[in-house]
Amino acid sequence: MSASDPHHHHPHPAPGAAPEPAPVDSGSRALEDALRSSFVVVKAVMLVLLLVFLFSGGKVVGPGEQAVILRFGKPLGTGPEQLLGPGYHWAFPYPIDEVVAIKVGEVQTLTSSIGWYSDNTPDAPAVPTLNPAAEGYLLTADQNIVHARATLRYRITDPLAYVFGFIHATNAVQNLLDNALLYAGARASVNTALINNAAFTDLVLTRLNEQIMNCKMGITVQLINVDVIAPGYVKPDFDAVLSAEQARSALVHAAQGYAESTVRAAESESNALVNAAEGYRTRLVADVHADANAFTNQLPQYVLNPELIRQRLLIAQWQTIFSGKADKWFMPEPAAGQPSELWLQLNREPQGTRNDTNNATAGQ
Amino acid sequence: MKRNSLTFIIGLLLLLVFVFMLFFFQVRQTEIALVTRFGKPTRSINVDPERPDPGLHFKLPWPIERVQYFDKRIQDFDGKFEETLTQDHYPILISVYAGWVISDATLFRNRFDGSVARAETQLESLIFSEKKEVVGNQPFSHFISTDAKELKFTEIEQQILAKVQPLARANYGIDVQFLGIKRLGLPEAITQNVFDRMKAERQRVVQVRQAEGENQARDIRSDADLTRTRILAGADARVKEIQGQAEAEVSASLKVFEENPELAIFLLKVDALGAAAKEHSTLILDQRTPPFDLLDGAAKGVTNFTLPNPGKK
Repeated sequence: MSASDPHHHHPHPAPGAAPEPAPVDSGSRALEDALRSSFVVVKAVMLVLLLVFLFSGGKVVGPGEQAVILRFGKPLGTGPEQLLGPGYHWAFPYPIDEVVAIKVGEVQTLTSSIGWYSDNTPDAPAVPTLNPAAEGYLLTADQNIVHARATLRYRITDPLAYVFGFIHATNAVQNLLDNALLYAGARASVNTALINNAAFTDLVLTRLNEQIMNCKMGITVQLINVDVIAPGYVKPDFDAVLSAEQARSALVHAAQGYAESTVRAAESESNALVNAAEGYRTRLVADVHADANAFTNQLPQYVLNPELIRQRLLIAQWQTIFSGKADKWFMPEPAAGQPSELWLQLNREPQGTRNDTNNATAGQ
Repeated sequence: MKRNSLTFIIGLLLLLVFVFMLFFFQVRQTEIALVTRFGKPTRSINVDPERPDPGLHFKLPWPIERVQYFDKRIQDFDGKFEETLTQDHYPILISVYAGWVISDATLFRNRFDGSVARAETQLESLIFSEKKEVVGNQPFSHFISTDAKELKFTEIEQQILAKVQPLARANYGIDVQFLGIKRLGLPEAITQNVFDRMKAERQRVVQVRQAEGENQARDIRSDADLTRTRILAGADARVKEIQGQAEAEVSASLKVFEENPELAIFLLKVDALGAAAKEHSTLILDQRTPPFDLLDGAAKGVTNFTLPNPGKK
């Protein structure tokens, strides 16, 4: 209001003073005209200034923002009603009202400030000791050391708590994030931290959500990423474990392959044996039945004339044999009283050489 | 006349505003106001979190009463990363953070002249000594543990907070609202031991994994071999069973042969003869073998007689 005061004071003494001295000459009349016209201008300016002043308290709240009107410092409305959405909001000019806009739409990103090594290269430096003042790390539950870093994306869901509750809200969130990461490390074994990233991240997230509730931060976690790596100095040993685990599963897989093929082979062998046995049974039964039938057919005639039947069967069999593949040699019986000699050269492998050389030599 | 009255009204308004500003003052939601009369605090406004009273408040005009403002919002406290000993004499480095607000503006003003920096210095030393005491009563395993029951992480934070809270409130007019551990570490020399232990552990794990791999593979293989033996034994049993069934099935038919064993045996012999002379055999015959007995006499002097055999060269 102090800024507009001079405008109120100056124009009024001027018209008030003007009519009192009587117009004397044309010079003073001209001066009076000039004063009167400038007074009109000043009045117009004043009116504009007044309008500007009346609307000076209002504010346009942008998208992704919310606003609270403070009347003499006290928020208008109670609870969630205090919050005004985007658009123009009229308010009394200073010092009566004050419109405080709060950015809520944007997703905020924050990275933990503990737990990561100072060097910004992709791999942690392979130093045999870590200076706690310079290097960040986490102690895991089984007293190992790992490097870990959490990246948090969050949204402000309770702007009143977030903005009016904290002087440096981001610092507070940062502390909660660091605490959650530290806690997760203190709970988890080094294997969980390094290998089971999902479980580890879940530990961090659970703790962080608890802390956000406790401290009434008024934010909601959208996404959290946790990177965990082994310190450079012991990394080769962790790598060795990984390759040993791979070797183990390779061995196990090979054994499983062996087991599978062995069992399959045994099953097929067993099937083959059983099938062969079934075949044998079928054949045997058929043969015996056939023999029995033949026997039954032959029997009546055999009883009548055994010798005839015998000869007939025998000769029929000979016929079959002689038309078969066997080698046949004929050696007449020598005259009575004379010796007969037959030289046989038996090969070690009679089958293999049977057709190559004729081994049976007949002589007198 | 008309102008004079307008001037008068405006002047009166301005006077009212001026008087109003002398006698009233604003307190925002985020502020605590302390009214002092001749430099002595008389009352504080909007300090109670349960009954906030921001807005317009009365005071006697300057220079009788003055208003001093403090921030009501939560301040961040970040402690130093310092070494202390646990109950079992582990040297650990620990730092805590805290969020605090002014709970007694008069005390806060008298104690620190309203300076947040000076307050934090005092808070630092208070938290340090309480932290040291609490940490000194806890074994190292309460800070980090795979056993969720043994881990007293949150309890330690709460104990420090519980010790700090009443002292800060009584001595500094500060309400510590929350407190947590921000960092935990080990002295640099000890990290060497930890690394050595980690290396040894990993090497042991490598050996265990190798042995596990071999053992598991062996188990799987021997299991498979056992299964194979079982399957084959089962097959053998089945084969024997089938053979037995076959014998049983044919035994009825065999009874037929008992009617004339002589013929039966003769038939079997004929069959056996046929089977024996099928292949890979060499027959040496003389003229008494039927039907060559027909050749008797005519064959004198013939030494080698081969029947025509179309299948053979």
